Amino acid sequence: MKKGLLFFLYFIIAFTWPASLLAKVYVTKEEALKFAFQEVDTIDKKVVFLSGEEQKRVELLAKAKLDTRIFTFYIGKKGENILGYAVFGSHVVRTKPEVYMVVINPDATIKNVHILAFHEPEEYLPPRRWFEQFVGRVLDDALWPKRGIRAVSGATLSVNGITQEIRKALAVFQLMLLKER
Amino acid sequence: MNWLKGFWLKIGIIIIAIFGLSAPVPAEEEKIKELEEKVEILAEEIEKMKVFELIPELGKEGRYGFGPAASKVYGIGKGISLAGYGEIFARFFDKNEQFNFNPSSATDTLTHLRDDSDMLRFVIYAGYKFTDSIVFNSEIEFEHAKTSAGPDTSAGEVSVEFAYLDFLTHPAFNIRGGLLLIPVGIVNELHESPTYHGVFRPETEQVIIPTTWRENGVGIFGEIVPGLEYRLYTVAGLVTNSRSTTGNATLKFTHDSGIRGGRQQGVRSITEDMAYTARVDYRGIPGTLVGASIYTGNAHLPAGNNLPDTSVGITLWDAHLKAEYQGFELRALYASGEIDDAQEINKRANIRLASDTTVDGRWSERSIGEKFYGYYVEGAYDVIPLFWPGSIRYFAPFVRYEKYDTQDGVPSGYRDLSETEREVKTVGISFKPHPNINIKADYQAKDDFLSDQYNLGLSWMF
Repeated sequence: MKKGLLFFLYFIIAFTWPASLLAKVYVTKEEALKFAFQEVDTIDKKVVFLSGEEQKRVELLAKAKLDTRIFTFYIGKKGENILGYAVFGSHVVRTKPEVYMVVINPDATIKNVHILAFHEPEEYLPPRRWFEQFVGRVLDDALWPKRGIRAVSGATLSVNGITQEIRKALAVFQLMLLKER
Repeated sequence: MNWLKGFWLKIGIIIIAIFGLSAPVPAEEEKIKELEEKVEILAEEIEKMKVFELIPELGKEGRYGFGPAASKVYGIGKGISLAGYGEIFARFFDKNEQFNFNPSSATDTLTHLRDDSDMLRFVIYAGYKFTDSIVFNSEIEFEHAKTSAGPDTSAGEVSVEFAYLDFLTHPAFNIRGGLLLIPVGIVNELHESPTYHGVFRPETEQVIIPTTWRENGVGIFGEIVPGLEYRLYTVAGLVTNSRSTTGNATLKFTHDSGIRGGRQQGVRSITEDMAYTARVDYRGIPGTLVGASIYTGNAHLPAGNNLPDTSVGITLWDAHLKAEYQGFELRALYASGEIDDAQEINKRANIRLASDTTVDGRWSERSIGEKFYGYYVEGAYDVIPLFWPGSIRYFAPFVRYEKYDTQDGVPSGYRDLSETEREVKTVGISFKPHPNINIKADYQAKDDFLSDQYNLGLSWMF
């Protein structure tokens, strides 16, 4: 009886608890870029337009189909020194999009990968630590889930999707920007 | 005349090109600049549409342990969400009959086994997000396709498997109340069929941990530091037998199905005795989940055999691990339980002591186990990435070994039935043409007195 009463009280407290509002995060392009290049003086922009031929070469290198032929690279510079390249993009995970930023070092290795928005239930989003394994990686045959990249159970579509997006960004960078320099 | 048109056009282009290259007219240079600027603007606008307009205000929502379909409500904006899962199976028995010792009659009984197929579960999840911090979630389940009985089979059922309100106050501290899933083991909370190997849930997680186990209650949950999640609930306790003021009580806890029958499932649950349940999971190492849970409290022991209402203490705990590396998957679970004064339950159902010479001594083998345990280890390997990297398809052979005993110890004076200790070896495949669809086939080797079986299953979630 006593326990029953306690249970009842617990219920009352729980259901009348003031539910405070959640902290909100809003990431703008400027904030993301500031985050990508922490010590730069200037950020230049380079828009890459792929011809049909270039598209084919990128797809061959990335082993993934492109759904856009325009890529905007943000180039972080300190003096004349290039610190890195950031590219933004989005892809549909199941039915809803995910927005990401890939930051590439001048030597074509990955500096880091950030998810800026995720419209699917968060269950499908790999934890932040998962993205850290891309740091320092290059575009090769190991850069695939369950090969050199760990899978996340319950997040196959986002894991496969984002890996392909990263491969595409690296391929465009290698063929269009690295060659130019 | 057409050729002439083309000719003059070509001449024109050449002239423009020459002038354009050698000494561009200032007006044209400006035009090109203007065009370049327009292209820049277009590229910027496209990027804005493709990328930056998709960035909303991000909420701080966690995952809190639920299956992907069940947690759908957390991901949507305000309003209703709908999700679901289902599974249908066919099984084929190796032997068409099996002999089992039946302690209720102290004889061996013959069970006829018939191959069958069942629409085991069809589930709809409905959720509603009142505000960002008040969320309702529920699961309505249809079992065995229909609530009326088949020609020679028992009826199916419709049940609310869970229905609760979440008050999200802080990532580390949130409140939940309603009909809750008991957070013990791996499968109970994550019970969507596509998420596990094998047509049937591991028997340890059917008998020792009685999935799908739910009860009315209230509690707190959250993520203390990134990757470290907890849940802590108070729920109505289990009930060991049905109440009988005149004769012997009928047992809900049994010698061979453990505490499974004692679940009240939120149906006019008796709250004379309460239980507490807690769980901790750590996901800090990528690809792994390691955790433990406990359920402890009192079970209600209604009157029977002229003995009054009372209660007995019960504790069940588990430790579990899930790990993935490249295509490899590992799952392991150990669960162990204990009932204090299990003889009190026996007495209310008039289960005699082995020393009682008025009945067959084997009757005492019906005793409730005062200790019970179960464990399994399962390994799988997804072969798809070897041949088709980046594919969303999945094809994994798996093996599972499990052992459990609902009567690992009986109260003194009673006998232990050896057949409650069981071993099951399962080998099979999971094929997922899409991550949320699992087509399963497996073979289960059981103890000699039981029949081996082949199973086929089709399962989905959305």
